[in-house]
Amino acid sequence: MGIRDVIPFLKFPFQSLFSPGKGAKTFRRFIDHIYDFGVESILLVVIVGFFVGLVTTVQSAYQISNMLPKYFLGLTVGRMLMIELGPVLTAMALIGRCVSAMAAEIGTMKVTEQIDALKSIKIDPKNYLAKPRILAMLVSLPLLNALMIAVSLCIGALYAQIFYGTNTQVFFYGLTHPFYPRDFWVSFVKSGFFAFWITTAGVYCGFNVSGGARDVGKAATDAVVISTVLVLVLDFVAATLFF
Amino acid sequence: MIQAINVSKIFESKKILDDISLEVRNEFIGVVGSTGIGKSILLKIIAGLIKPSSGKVMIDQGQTTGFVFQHSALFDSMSVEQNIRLPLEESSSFSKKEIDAKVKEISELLYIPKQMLKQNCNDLSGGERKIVAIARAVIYDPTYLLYDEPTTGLDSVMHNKICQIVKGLNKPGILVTHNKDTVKAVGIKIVYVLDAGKLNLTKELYE
Repeated sequence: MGIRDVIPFLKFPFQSLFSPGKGAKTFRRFIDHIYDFGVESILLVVIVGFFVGLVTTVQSAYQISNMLPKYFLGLTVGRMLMIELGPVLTAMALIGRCVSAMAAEIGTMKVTEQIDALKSIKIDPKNYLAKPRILAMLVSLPLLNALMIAVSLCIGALYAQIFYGTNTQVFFYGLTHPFYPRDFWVSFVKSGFFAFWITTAGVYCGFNVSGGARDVGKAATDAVVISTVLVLVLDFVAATLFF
Repeated sequence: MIQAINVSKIFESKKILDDISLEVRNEFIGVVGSTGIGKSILLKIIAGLIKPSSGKVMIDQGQTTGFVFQHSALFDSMSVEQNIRLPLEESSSFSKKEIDAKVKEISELLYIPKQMLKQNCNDLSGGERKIVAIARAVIYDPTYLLYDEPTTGLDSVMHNKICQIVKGLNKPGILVTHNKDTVKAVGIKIVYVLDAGKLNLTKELYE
């Protein structure tokens, strides 16, 4: 990927979403990818959420120790998870698990002429390969984000009760006082944006492979690097726009 | 009718195809030439898979092409049957029953045994893969068939079997190969030689 790819990259997801194809078939592939990206990522997201909840609670407890009331622990942990760590770390987990794999899979299809074969039988490769993946990730990532936040908060509350004596009720009181609905929906909007662009990175890198096995490996690496950078850039953009 | 008009292709400042014009009406033509001369590129340009650097390819309205790839290009995450069904399944004009009947018809025509239909494509031999690739290309009944080296890398038994299948299909189109025996075996009468980017009609194969 180079500077020449910027415009085609930005156009790519929209060309894919508006590509012609049979709706019912696209829907079936969309469901298959929901399973791949969503259901099969649940365990990973739960594990990540478990440790993120622990670390966030420990760090927050250290920051507020002896200075602020105990319910601030819930406030700090909840706010951090909701607006920042949840969307970003869920996206990072899915970049590692799904984005690199989709770049490698589509890249292999490209170098083995399977994408040309799709065109030869009058199937639009963007409709067949890109559209259902983008849509499936748009659904999966926000839901996994919600799961990650829920797991982290529960583990955080439990840890706070056991090790800092912060009652769970106090922890959750802090979480909702004050509660800004904006924090809640921004978390999901960010997840949606991350989903859209990290999937685009994976699919685009796969579609643009030329060569052999080495190039497929490079495409997978490129997809991970590009999508990681994109998440951080979009995170900054969202921070400046919403807060 | 397929018409290639003044088609040229330049790759990394090297002219692979130089102002080539070709017409296919209702005949089956052969293009022979040594390896790496640009035969596959010409065929892919005709199929619309590669854009020419200059010139154009026109296919009459309502006419379609089927493409048999040199390395078969089967969808390796699918079974043989799924590969063959795919072109019809993605089209909105066929019911499941019609697709089943068509798969059965094509399997019988190309001698694909029932048990092979359930196999994964990765488990097939090179020759079997070619047959499945032909089945996938003919199932939607294209007007023209374009074969890219259909017998490369096959032993003589499989070579003869593939040639027999291609001949039996009796479809107009283009077959490109480096193997002149293939052209003779499938009964092609009109043969072009691709050399140094130019396409010339030849009669020497049958002389």
